[in-house]
Amino acid sequence: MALSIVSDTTQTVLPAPAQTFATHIICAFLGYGLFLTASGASVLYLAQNRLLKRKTFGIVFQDLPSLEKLERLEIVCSRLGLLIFTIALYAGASIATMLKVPFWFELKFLAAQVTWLVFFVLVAGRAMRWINGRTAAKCVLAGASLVLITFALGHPLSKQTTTTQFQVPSFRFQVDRSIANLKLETRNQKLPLEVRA
Amino acid sequence: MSESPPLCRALRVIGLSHHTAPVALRERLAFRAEDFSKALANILARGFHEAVILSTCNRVEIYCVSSTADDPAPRIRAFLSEYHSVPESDFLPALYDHGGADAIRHLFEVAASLDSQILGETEILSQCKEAFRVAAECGSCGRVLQRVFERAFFHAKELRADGGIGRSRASVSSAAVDLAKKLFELEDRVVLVIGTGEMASGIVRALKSAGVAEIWVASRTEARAQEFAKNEGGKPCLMQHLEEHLTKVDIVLVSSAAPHYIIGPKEIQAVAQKRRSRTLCLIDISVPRNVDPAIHELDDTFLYDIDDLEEIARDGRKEREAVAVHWRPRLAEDSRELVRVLGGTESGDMAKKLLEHADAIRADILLEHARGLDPKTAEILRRALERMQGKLLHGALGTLKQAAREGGGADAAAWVSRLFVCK
Repeated sequence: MALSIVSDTTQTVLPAPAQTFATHIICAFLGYGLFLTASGASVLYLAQNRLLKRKTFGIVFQDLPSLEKLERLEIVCSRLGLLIFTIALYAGASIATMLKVPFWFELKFLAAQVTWLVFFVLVAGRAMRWINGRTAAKCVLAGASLVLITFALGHPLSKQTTTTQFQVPSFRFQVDRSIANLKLETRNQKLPLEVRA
Repeated sequence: MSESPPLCRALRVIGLSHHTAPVALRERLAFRAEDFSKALANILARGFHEAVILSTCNRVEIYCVSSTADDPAPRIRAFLSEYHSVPESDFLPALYDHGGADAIRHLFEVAASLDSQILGETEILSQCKEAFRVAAECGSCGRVLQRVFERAFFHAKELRADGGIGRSRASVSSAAVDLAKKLFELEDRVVLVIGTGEMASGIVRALKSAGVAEIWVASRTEARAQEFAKNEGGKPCLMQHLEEHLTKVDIVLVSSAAPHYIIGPKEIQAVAQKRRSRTLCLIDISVPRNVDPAIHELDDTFLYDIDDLEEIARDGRKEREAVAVHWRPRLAEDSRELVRVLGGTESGDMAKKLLEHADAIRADILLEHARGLDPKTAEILRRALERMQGKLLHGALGTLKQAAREGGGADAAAWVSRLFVCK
C-alpha cells in the first residue's frame, strides 16, 4: 500500500515519521519486485510444463531449466516477497494510524491485502503440499496481477480526489492532480482564489 | 643435400576407421596399449622423425613425420603388415592416407569427435590425449606432432565449449536422462526399474552416472531382479508391493515383456494422496507398452515411451550434425594455417642454418688466408668476405622470408637446403 495522506480536515495533515515511511516505501518496492520475479519464474514453469506435457522437445525445451529449479525460484521469491511485503503493510498501516487517516476501506489497501492473502495461501499451501506446482504457478500469476492492479490504483492518474495537501497556519493548499487546479481555502471558508490549468 | 622433405609431404596420417573397415579387420590391426613403445620404435627405425599411434575400437591410425623424401605410405603399410602378420592386400582397400594440411584437418576432426560414430562423443579426445602422452614418453613425438596434437586438443575443447556439440543428446539412454533432468535434479532421487531388459541397464547406468541415489529393481522373476540389481548396483524388490514402491520413487523405468499394461491411471491415482503432489516421471521402453498412456494426462505425472526418447536422440543427432557442418570448414582453414606456421618455422630454421653454414665457410677462408697478413689487411679481408656473404645470401634469405609469408616456407626451405648443401 503506497500511503496517501488524504484528509478532509486540515488539522490532521502532519508529516509522517521519516524512517517508517522509508521502510514502507522500500519494503513495498522490494516485495513487489520479488512477487514479479516469482511471476516470471511461474510463466517459465507453465511453459516448460506445457512443453513436457505436449512432448515438444525443441530448442525452447532444451534451453529452459527444469521444473524443479523454476518452482524453487518461484517459491523462494514468493516467501521472501511475502515477508517483506508484510513489513511494508505494517509500516504503511502504522503511518496511517499515526496520522489518523482511515485506510481500511481504501481500494488500494484492500487490493494489497488480497495480494498478501494470495501469496500467503500459495506459500502455505505449497509448504503443506496442498497444492501442486502448476496450481502454485497460477496462484503466483494471480498474485502478480493484483500487484499490477495495486500499482495502477496508486498512480496519481487513477485518483478522483485530492492527492497532495499541505498546510500553513490558517490556510490549506490543495493540489488536485486529476483536474490539475489549485485551490486556496481557509479552515471554514473557500476563498475566491482558484487557479485552473 | 638434406634428404628431409617439406612438411606438407613429410607429415602423414595412414590408417583405417569404422568408415572404411569392418570391425573384423580393425581388430586385426589394433595395437595393445603395452605394445605401443615397441611399435613406435619399429616405425622410427623405418625412416621417420616422429610417430603417434592412435588405436581405438573405431580406428587404427598412424600419424608420422618422415625423415626421407620418398613416399612414406609403403613403409607404413609394410610396418602394419609385418607387425600384425596381416597381408597388405587384406587391408589396402580400407586404408586412407592424408598428407600435410589434410592430415592435420583429419586429426582435428578426429579429436573433436566429428569423425566418430556418435558425433560429439567425449571418449575419443581422451584416447587422442593418451596416444600423444605415450608417444611423448617414448620420445617419438617431436616439434611437429606436438604442435599439431596440441592444436587439435584446443579445437576439441573449443568445439565442446562454444560449439555446444555435447549439449544435445544422441542416444536413447542419454535422452532419458535429459528428459528426467527437465523435471527435477537427479541427485537423491529414487528409481524403480520394472523388468530387466538390456536397454534398461543402459538407461540405469546413465541415470546412475547422473547421480541418482537409489535403484530398486522389480521383476516377475525374483532371481532375475536379483541378478540385475547385483550387476547395476541396485536393490531387488517385489512386484507385489508395486503400489508401496510408487509412493516413494521419483522415476519409474519400465522395460518388461508383459503383454498388457502394468501401471495405469488407477494405480497412480491410488498413490496420489500419499505422494502429495510430488512429480513422477515414468519411462516406458517396453514394446508392447506396459504403462497406460492416459497416465500422462494426470497432474504431476509425466510418461514417455521409446518413440519420445528416439525423437530426442534423433533431434540431438541432427543438432550435432549441424554443429559439425558449421565447424568443418573452420578446422580445414586452421589446418592450412598451421601448415603455413609450421612451414614458416621451417624456413626460419633453414635461414638460421644457412647463415651458420656461411659463417663457418667464411671463418675457414679467413683462417686460411689471413695468416701472415698484417692486422689492417686482415681486417679489410674480413669485411670484404662479410659483405660478399651478405650480398650472396640476400636473395636466398629474402625468398625464404617471402615464402614463409605466402605459406610455401617448407618448400622454399627444401630448395634452399638443396641449393646451398647445408644440413
